[in-house]
Formats: sequence, C-alpha cells, structure tokens
Amino acid sequence: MNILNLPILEILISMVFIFALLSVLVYSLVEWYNHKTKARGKMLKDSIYQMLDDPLNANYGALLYLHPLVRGTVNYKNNRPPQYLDSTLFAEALIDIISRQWEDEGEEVGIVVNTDGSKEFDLKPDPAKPELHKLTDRELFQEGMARMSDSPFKELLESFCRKSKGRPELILLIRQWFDSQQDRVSGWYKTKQIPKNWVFAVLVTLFLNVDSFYLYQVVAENKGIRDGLVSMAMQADSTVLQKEAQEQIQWSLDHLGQTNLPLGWNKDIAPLSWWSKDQPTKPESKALQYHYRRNFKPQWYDYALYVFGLFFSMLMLSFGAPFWFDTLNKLINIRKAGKKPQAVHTPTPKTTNS
Amino acid sequence: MEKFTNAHIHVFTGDCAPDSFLKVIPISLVRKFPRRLKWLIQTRGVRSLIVWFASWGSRRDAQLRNTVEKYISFLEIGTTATQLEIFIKGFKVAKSYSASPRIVALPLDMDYMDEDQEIVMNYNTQLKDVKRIKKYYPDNFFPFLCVDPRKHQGENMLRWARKFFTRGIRSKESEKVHPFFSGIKIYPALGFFPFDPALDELYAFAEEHGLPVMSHCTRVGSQYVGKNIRSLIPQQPAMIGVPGHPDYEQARQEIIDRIARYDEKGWLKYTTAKNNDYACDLFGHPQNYVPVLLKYPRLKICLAHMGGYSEILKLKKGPDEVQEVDQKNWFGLIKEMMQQYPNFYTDISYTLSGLQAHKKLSRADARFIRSEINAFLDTPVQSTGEADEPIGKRVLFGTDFYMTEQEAREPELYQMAREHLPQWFKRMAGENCERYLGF
Repeated sequence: MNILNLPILEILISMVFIFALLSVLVYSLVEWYNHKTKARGKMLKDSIYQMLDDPLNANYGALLYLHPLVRGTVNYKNNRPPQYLDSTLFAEALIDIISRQWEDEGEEVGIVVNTDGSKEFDLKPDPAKPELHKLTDRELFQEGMARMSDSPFKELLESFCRKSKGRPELILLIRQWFDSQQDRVSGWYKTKQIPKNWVFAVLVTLFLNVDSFYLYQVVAENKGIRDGLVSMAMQADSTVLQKEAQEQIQWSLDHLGQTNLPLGWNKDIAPLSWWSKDQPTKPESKALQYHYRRNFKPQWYDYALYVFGLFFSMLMLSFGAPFWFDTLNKLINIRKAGKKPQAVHTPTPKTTNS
Repeated sequence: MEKFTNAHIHVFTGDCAPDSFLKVIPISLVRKFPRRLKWLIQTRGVRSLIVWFASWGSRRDAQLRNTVEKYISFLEIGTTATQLEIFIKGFKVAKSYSASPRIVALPLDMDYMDEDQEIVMNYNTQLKDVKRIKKYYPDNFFPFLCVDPRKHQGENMLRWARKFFTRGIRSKESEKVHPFFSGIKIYPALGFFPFDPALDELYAFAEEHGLPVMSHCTRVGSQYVGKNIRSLIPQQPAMIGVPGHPDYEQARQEIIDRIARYDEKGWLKYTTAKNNDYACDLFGHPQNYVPVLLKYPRLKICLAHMGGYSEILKLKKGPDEVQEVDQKNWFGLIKEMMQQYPNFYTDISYTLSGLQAHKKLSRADARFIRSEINAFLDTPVQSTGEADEPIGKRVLFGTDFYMTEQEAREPELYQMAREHLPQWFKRMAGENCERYLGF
C-alpha cells in the first residue's frame, strides 16, 4: 500500500485548499480595506516624516511630499499618497530640498518708509555670495546645509556629504539609507496587518458559517467532494494573490461554488436548522445520522463543537493566504511524490588539484 | 490697473494643527476623543455623515452648529490640499475683481496650542512652504509672519523674525522687489497676551519699518486647548505700555479686574468640558491692545473680524453671561478704539458672512447686522484729528477664506460685500488696504 495514496493526505489537501480559498477572501478584503484607508501610502508617508523630522529646522518629510517629484505621484482625485517611492526619486527630491535652502534665503532687502507710510524696497546684493551657476551640485547641497541649525539630522546629512565626492555618490548613500529604513517599515507594515487579518477572518468565518470540524467530517466522508477539492487544488495557482482584489474574490467564490461544501446560512445547516420547523425524518443510514443529529437534534457537545469549529476556522484564516498556498504546494508535491522541486541553479564548486 | 486686496485669508493645512485641534469644538464627546475624531474625519464618507449628524443634533443651537460645520469645513479643505493649492483657490476668486489682486495670507503658529501634542508640519516647515508660494506669486501673495512669545522673546524674537522682513526677491513679471513677509500676525487666543513684554522689541521694529500687525479678534475660533491655562493667565500679567498715562492705567486696571472676575466664575480652571472656552477670550480682548497702541502710536494694528457678528447681534438681543462678566461688547469697543487711535484698523472678514441671511442666520438678524456695519463704517472720527473722515477708511476687506466655507463660498462673500456695502467695497479692498500695508 502506497502511503502517499492514503485518504488522509487527500483530506489534508482538501482542508488546506478550503482554508486557502477562504484565506484568499480574507486577504483580498484586507487589501481592499488597506486600499480604502490608504494604509500603505499613509504608512510610507509616516515613516518618511519620521525619518526626515528635524524639530530644530523643519519636517523635511512634509516638504518632500510637497516637492514636485513626489507631489506628482499623488492621486489628485482622491488625494491618495503614493504607495511606493523609488529610492532614487527620494534621494533626488531630498537633495533638491536641502540645496534650495540656500536659494530660498533670498536677497537682503533695503526698506525705506516714506512720511505718508508707504514703503519702497530695493535689493542689496551680497557681493560675497557665490553665483548659483558657479556651484557644483555638491557645493549647493553644502550651502543648503549651512543654512540649517545644528541638529542630528544635519549631522547625518553632513556625514553623507563627507563620504561622497560627487552627486552620484551622495544619491547612492541616501538611497541605501532610505532602502534600509524601508526594509524595517515593511516589517512594521506586516505586523500592522495581523489585527486586520483577524478582523476579516472573523467576518468571513461568520458570513460563510465556516465550521472547520464539520467541514472535515464532510470531506472525510464524501469521496466525491474530496476528489473535486483535490482536483481543484492540483490546479490552484498562488499567482492569484497578485491579481486585483475583485478578481481574487471572484476566483475564490467560483471555486467555493463548485465544491458543494456546507457553507453559508440556510435552514438545512446549523445553526439555522436548529430552529427550523421543517425537520426531516431521522435517516436509516448510520453515516447520515451524525449529520442529522448535528443539524437537527444537537446535543450539548454539538453546540460546543460548532462554536469551537468557528473559532478554529477564524484561527486558520488569520494565518493568511500566502501561508496556505505554501502549505498546499508542499502537500501536493508530496502527493505527486515524483515531482522534482523547482531547479535552483547553484554554481558548481570548483575542484582544486592540490 | 485698479488695486484690489483681500487682506485676510488662511492657507495653512490640517497638518499644521495638533491632533487635538478639534477640542475647540464645544462638544464633550469630541473633546474627549479629538484625535480619533480627526482620524475619522480624514475619511470622506465619515465627514459627510458627521456634517449631517451635527446639523441634526445641534438644530436648536445655531452657534454650536456653526462651530461644528466650520471646523469640519476647515478639515475638508485642510486635509485634502496643500498650502499652495489653497492659495490658488482663493486667488482665482479674487482674479474676477482685478487682473493682479493682492492676497494677504495669515499663517498660524499652532506649535503651542496644546503642549501635549506633536504637530506633523511644525511652524518652521509651514513657513518654508509659505516662502515657496511667495516665490511663485511674488506680486500677489503677501504672507504675514505669525509670532508667539512663548517661542521667542525680546531680542531673540527680533533676531529670528527680522530675516523674514529684510530678505526677499524680485518679481520677474513686475520687476518689483518684495520682502518675503509683509506684516506680523498674532493670535493671542492660542495662549498669550498681545501686551506681553516679550513682543516689545518686535513692535518697535514693526513701527519703525512700517510693518502692519494683524490679530484675530472674536470670542470664538481656534484657541489654546492645553491643560496649563491657569499658568498662562497670572492675576497681574506683565505689560508693555506707558506707565502713568491715564488711558494705560485705566486699561491695565480693567484688564486685571476682568481676569479676577473670570477667575471668580471658575472660568480659568481647565476642564475637558469647558476647555478654556471663556479663558481664551481674555487673551484676545480688544482692550489688551490699548497699552500697545499707546506705546507705539505709529504702529498699524488691525483687529480682525470687527469682534465677530455674534457681538453685533448682542446689541439687538441683549448681553449674554459672558458679556456681563466681561462688561464690554467687542464690536462696540473696537468702534470706540478706532475713534481714538488713528492707526487702529479692523477688517470685515468672517463678519461678512453675516451680511446676508443663511441657514444659520435669520433675515431679521442679517438686516440688523447690515445696518450696524453700515453705521459703523460711517461713524465719524472724533478724537484722532482726521476731520470729516469716517472710521470706515480704516476697515479692510477680507474674507477669512477658507474658514467661512460653510457660511458662504468665497465668490458669494465678495458678492455680499459688493451688494450690501456698495459705497465701501472698493475702498476697503483698495485704498484702505494700500494704506494699511504701506504700498
């Protein structure tokens, strides 16, 4: 007997596929919520504001978002901040803002107040001030920094300036700094998704009445349903997670519709069936008696099992769609038992003749 | 080309205010959870719902509804546009009246509005952005520099502020030279007295260089929302002025007595429910400017909004409890002071919206406000030596854009002024503003 053809593996694949389908719903709802609340863009904005906050001078993050290079990426229709910012664009905009502090200082103005209270103004150019076109980009950046009060942020910029010989190197250093910060922000962002995953896992579980224990019972007993699920699971493709939320939901609902699983709310399935007046007669078949009892004549442990089934579903769905697709892929690989893992090109170690 | 100036608009955004900004709304729930509400209001759908509920919930209290809607409106524009975009909105309306209008924009330093709260776009950042707008619109954008004596004092304040007035740019279009900032803005209700000695050097500089001062002057509006209100209002605050001058001594005594009366009433104690509502009136009281006007007689000071149209309505409906304790009607007091001090100005911004009936103002009330404002403008000067000149020559045209969006849209405000103050509209926006700004 081949262990890989045992029903337990099919049941596992079926259950994991069910969780994957439902998790796609959770995943797309979380993404939809993030889109509506501009969560990704706001987090990026907050992180940049924090990075560039200099209370002794200005919040350069706020100024960066007003800079045409970044402002141009804002969706004007709904004022949606950019979800991603290219590190080169970030560096270019920041260098420009700092450099412009020199130019934005303006010129000395001579003021004459006339006897009638009117005023006349004239510029008093500073002969010691270098002309703009005679300065290199790096010098302009230094002049801009010189207009800042001493602060930790200024010291950081000075250190970048010291380490670089020209604009390309300066850009590279700022890009590296930005990228390392953004790696951390990605971590924070993922952490922030956990409570949202939970909330939408609860909603999907309740909305579709997902009792994992009962689903297990149905899948374990019904070979037809199981085969259908395994067949769909073999064709499932995790690239669905890269599609639009609407397509993800459609994909998930289409597949759930083909499974014939006891999901949703109707008077033939617990808990609505508990109050249904149209109760069927007790079936003769022993196999069907469990379903009859669970749905129409529940004992106290059926209630408890139902509630635990819901909680278990919530917990499973909160793991997220990527986790379930990953698990599904591993199980399918086991079932195929001959399928080679994707080829990973590794350089052949050099042999040395000593 | 006809000179045309709107002497009072705002371009600062929601990022310039602390998260607790909504505490200025006199609703206890809002005052308990201002940050969460601000977060909610930043969602478009929620904003619309709140406006609807606020209108329904405060249908019997026009002033409350007015305040709620005003701040919702502020957040609506303030959270969706940049300072430059807000300026352009106001500028476009003014362009209907002149090919090259002048817009006076009044930044606000809200860094000390609530000590416990951080501000996303602190005042320095706000100013950098304002300078950027000046660079783009040198002949049309005339910002004032907002100062707060808690941030800089005396010589330090002057050293910090001087560069904003003595550095500038040449317009490529008109080839005229403009300093970056054209005047001084103070907003005492945020927690300081305009007679604070820390402002002395700056006033002296402003008088010498012909820099006008603009100050907010209504009982409602933005205010200090922190918990340290008691420490900001001593029983006998230090005061610049002219000791020994009878007017100074009288004003000083009345100011001290007023503080004592407010204290007796318990209005100087911070509570979440009251939230400095009355206490902040003490900062912006028109009488507080008497010591400054006496010490700096050539300094042009404008108390904006004529004290607010709710003060005008009190002349019809009788004084409320606040006025009884205060013992002054601000609209009346401003009129008296304009008759007495030749460089004392006011503007019609915000109060303009009371010229015409709207959903919050009955026709009878609007008619009363119109007649009072017309009478105000025609009031002859008595003791300033300006023979045969009404005090209307020192009233400026302004709209308080975008604070007035719920009362009336910007073009409507211009239209109201033109329709209801036909003899004064051009004069207020023309020669009066020219004289005030020193152009």
